Amino acid sequence: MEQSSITLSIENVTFGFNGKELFKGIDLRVFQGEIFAIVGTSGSGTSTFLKLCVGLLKPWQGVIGINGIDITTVSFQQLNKIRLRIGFVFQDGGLISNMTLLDNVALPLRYHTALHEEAVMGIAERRLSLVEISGYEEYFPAQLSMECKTRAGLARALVLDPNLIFYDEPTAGLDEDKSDSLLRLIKRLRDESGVTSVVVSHDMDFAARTADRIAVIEDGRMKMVRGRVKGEG
Amino acid sequence: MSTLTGWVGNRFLSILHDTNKICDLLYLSLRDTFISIRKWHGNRLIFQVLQKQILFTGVDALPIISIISLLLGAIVITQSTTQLPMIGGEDFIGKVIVLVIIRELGPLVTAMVVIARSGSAIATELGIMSVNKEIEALEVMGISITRFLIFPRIIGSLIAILCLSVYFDIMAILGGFIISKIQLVTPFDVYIYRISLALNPGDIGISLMKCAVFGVIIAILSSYHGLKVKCCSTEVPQATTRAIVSSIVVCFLFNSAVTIIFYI
Repeated sequence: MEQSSITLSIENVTFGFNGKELFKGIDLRVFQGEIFAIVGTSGSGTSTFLKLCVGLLKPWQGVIGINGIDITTVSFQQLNKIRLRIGFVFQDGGLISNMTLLDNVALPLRYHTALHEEAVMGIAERRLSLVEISGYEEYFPAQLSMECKTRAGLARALVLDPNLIFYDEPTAGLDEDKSDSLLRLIKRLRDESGVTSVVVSHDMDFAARTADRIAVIEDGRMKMVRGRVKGEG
Repeated sequence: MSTLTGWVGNRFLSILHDTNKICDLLYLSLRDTFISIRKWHGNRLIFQVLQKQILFTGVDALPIISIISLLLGAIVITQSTTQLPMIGGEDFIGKVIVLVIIRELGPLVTAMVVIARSGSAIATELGIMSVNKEIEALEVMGISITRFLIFPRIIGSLIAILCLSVYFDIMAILGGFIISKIQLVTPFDVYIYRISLALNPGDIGISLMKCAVFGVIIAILSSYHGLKVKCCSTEVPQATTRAIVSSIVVCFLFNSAVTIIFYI
């Protein structure tokens, strides 16, 4: 692992809702190519933490750096540019319900690139093949199982070749076999493409099997379970 | 008394807050679009959304607009051509038809149909997208909500309502006459001649201007209320109701303002 290359850095982040503090001075560094798991009980704010990391929410104070750029101070246009290097896999895929799976995966390419339709389709089909759901191209999200939706969400997250992917509860609603299959896929992406992964889960067992390092969010603070959170490298 | 004053004050502040947010949404959708037009990327995708919006708001509304315009046209024409001659007002038949159909009912009734069909659909669709976290998913992908979702709906509604209004006027004046012909004695050429005398380019211009603004009002208010839905599916019908009611109120207010400014 290249310890000198920090993909995600969080410094002294404090955030809450309606004046009530949810996170207190959180510090975190995630390095290029590692799989980092954040475990928390329901309501501990793990999903909120991911939203802070991708700029969907703004912290009360602190710095959130992605690939060396502080996303709390950039303009909306700059933030959208930074997001091109980020993937985000929602709990149920976060797919657009009135688009087929292929159109969902092709969406970022159609919006952000000037590629011809044939090239777009080619890339989208390859990503669906990579996450092992070829054959479902013309299905709509409502017609798919939870696992398929999560995999399709991952295919869409991968389509612009990001170097950092956030997973929000990727194994929620999946049995052990399917969780293992997804785990292998996350590790394969790390090994083959060097993609950094930040995985949020309630399942400590899954986190232990997946991650290089694990942190737990408890009482608004991040505590390290495996590895050290602060001052790595 | 103080409770009532407080309620009125809160409602007033809430309306001011909503108006500010709606203007902000309109500004952002225009700004994002004009900024991104230069990049060219994604415009094909935006155009597809625009096409779908025009198809749904305009083309799919033709049957209902046809029925309403024919019936309304027949009512107005029958009343004016039977009642006005009794008080010696045959010469005003064209004026009344232009006044009622082209100036007022054409734009307003078209707007009501678009609110009922498309305004409610926009608010519901965006509300469901919010609940399903599809809006967040788009934002995380770096896709501008205002450019991808709002702008095509504004332009689509604007184009569709303009075309529908012209179609409404033609169907109401010509189709209404044909339906009313059963009991009318006025010859068609006389009828058309009277309308052409009463009609001036200003009436058509103001009617089209009203329709264009109605299109923007309906799309932006429906989008705003749809996007206000946060986490609960029961918020969706409430947002849809708010979108419909506010669109109707604002369209009538605007229509009244135009009438006062241009015709009094």
